[in-house]
Amino acid sequence: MSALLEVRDLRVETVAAPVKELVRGVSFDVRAGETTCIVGASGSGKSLSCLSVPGLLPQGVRRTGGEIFFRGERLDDAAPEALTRLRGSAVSMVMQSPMSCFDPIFSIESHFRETLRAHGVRGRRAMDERITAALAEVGFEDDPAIRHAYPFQLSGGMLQRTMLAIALMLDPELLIADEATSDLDTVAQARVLDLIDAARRRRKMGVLLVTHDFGVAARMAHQLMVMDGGTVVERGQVEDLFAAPSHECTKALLAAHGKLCARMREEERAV
Amino acid sequence: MIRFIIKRILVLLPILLLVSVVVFLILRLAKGDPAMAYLRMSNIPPTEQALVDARMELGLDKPIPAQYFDWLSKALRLDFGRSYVTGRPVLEEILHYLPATLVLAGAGLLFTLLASIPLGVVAALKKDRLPDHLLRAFSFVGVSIPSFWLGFLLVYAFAVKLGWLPTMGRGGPLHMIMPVVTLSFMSIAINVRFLRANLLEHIRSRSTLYARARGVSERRIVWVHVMRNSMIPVVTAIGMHLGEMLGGAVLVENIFSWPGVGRFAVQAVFNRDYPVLQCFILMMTVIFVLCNLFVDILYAFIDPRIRLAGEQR
Amino acid sequence: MMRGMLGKGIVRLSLALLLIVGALALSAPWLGLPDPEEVNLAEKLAAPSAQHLLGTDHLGRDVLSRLIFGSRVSIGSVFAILLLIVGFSTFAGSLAGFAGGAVDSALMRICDIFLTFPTLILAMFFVGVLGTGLTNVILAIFLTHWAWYARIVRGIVLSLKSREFVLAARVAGTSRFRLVVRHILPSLAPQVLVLATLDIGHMMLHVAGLSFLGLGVQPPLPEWGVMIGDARQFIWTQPQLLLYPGLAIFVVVMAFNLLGDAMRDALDRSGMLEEAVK
Repeated sequence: MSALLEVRDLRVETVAAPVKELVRGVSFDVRAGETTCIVGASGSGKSLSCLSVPGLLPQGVRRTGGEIFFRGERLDDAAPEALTRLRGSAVSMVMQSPMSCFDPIFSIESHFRETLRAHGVRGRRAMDERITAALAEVGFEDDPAIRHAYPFQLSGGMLQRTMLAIALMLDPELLIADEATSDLDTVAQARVLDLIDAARRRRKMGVLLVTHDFGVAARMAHQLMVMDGGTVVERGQVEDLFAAPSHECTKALLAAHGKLCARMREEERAV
Repeated sequence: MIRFIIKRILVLLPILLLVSVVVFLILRLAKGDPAMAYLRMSNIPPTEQALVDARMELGLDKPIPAQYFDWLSKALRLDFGRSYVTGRPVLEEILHYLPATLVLAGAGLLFTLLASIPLGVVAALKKDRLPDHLLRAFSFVGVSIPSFWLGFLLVYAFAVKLGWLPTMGRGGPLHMIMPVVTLSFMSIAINVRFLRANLLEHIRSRSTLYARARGVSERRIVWVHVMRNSMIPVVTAIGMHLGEMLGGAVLVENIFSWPGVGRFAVQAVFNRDYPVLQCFILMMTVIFVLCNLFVDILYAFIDPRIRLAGEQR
Repeated sequence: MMRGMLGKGIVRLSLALLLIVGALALSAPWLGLPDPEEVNLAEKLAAPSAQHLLGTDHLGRDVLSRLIFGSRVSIGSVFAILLLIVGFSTFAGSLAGFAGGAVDSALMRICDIFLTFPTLILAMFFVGVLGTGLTNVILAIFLTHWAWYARIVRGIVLSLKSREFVLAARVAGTSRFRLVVRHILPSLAPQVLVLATLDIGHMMLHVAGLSFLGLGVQPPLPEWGVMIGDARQFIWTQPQLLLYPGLAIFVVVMAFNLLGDAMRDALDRSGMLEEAVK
């Protein structure tokens, strides 16, 4: 069975001089119904790697090599219209800092409607059904008033769940989560991760999760990949990496994670 | 929303009061004896007794705070005294000339918006290409050129040399072209840069990235999301432009002999006609303040963050 | 920082221009120019000649001479205003930012009041009440501009106050005075300088504008705005009399604006600029 998403030898570099290679020959895949996690510190190239998939690289960088296959078809040389059609429907995203992602002068509901309209859903009733279902899926079934709120009126955790609702609304096959929980407190983080995992199981969705937090990776990943300086330095199954990390970087990340856990355990005991 | 408006008005009232105090205090610094001026205007010979009577009549023997209250209560009843020159009630005279100024300032503001918005969009969408560079040069020229000189350049080119437009006076559209362009030039220059910066900032924002990630079309992103977000600060900047317009109108009225209140006030300065001057500054300041209030309300109307502040969930 | 700034040709040009104008202004009395105030009706409205390089105005005064002597007034008055503003507003703004509390509120309310007036109109009123003339124009424009500066200085001081290096010095027990002089002023000074440079042009336009209306500098003192006012009646016959002084104002203001812009960019790049100034 071929993977849902296959990325081969991806290369991304800066546009302006001095040209710097930010992603150097990265390969990974995501299987339907499973989560692939890319872990690394800031600047390791993990975000750029995942943004390349839907063709959303920021200004100032560009993809210079590699191939991206989605459902067996080439994505990297697809026409812009085809990519736009895929985004938000077959391939959707949840991103970091949701407060800065929503348009502050539009209500939550308008974001939903706009996305639906962009993918051909018409008619108030059809839209409402989808919106209510999506909100219910992320735990807002008893709070329909959320729809009329504006982004600044919601907390970070609520906004992230809303973002997830919009992402799930059109039945995506691949969900890309770029540091989706990095700004949240542990409770909100746990909730969002639970929702993503539940959606994955229920919908047999592939999930590409980018994070700097090993705890998140441990929880969510089937396949794990560690990036540093633009390359993959270690990959494998989660348990193997935790038990026996080979690369310096992995060890450092694990150590940091371990220290944090150790300190938390100490504090718990002290209380 | 109503609460917002009421709150803003309540903040304004003490400020306006203090503004009147400042105006009153500056008036007191004036040279010359108001009693003498009063007698001269009323054609009463300034004998010792007449001066004493005049002083009492004008309330000049009372302590200053009392004088202020007298002055303020008269002002609130819209009694600003009579002009030293014409003897007619000041308010009447000023209201006679005010509409012309308001027409000019209003047209200036409208023209500023109509001209700067498309130019700002062009500058942003064609960033770093020729149109952008030309507009940048234009902006620099716009904030550096003295408006009164620009006015004369236009008059020379279009009235003296080409004879297309009249040199002065109030009238129909042809009479308004040069004064309005002169008045708005600097504001357009500033606005174009401002709008360009806002547009570029929003085009690069995370909000735009997210909209793309949702599959929203590029056209909708630019013309709905980016434009609306960029326009908000432009609207709030209108208040600033208004101040420039009201002041600039004084100069423009002078150049083009536009019969507005600015030109009238300049005459009053030469004639040391203090009653006119005090009414002039109070009136223009109040107009300015009201316009800013209107802009604030408009801003709250279009930006939900201001309107609904304090209603967090 | 200086190098980055002078990199662009046009900035170099502006600086050179301003230096030349400054040199001319300062050395004017010794340049052997005809007396700018000397009226000579026999020679009025003369065309350019060897004796009068740019001709004469309606009272027979040499135009070039009036331009050069006028620069002393047009530019000098703005520097005087700036000196007053920078001195007073830096003091007031720093006091407000530093002291906080009631002092801060009171000073800010006073600023609010002055910022409520449309600028040119307040200047007009002040001049109208206290009389025309150079000194009153300087005071009037100072009055209309100081509040804006004081506000910004206060903003800068507030953000500097909570920066680590200031907090560290306070913890170390540095006296208030030393705190201000040693720690806050060095950060404050370049930003205020940039603000002032950016504003010079704007203030020159106001001074010239008031003088053009006849409310500012009084004859026979030469000043560029006055020269434009004098020349307006000759727009049909001797338009060049309008051209020269306006061009002078335009070019000098533009040079100051370009210079100020470059300074702000240079400061921005070296990270010394507080948000309030941008």
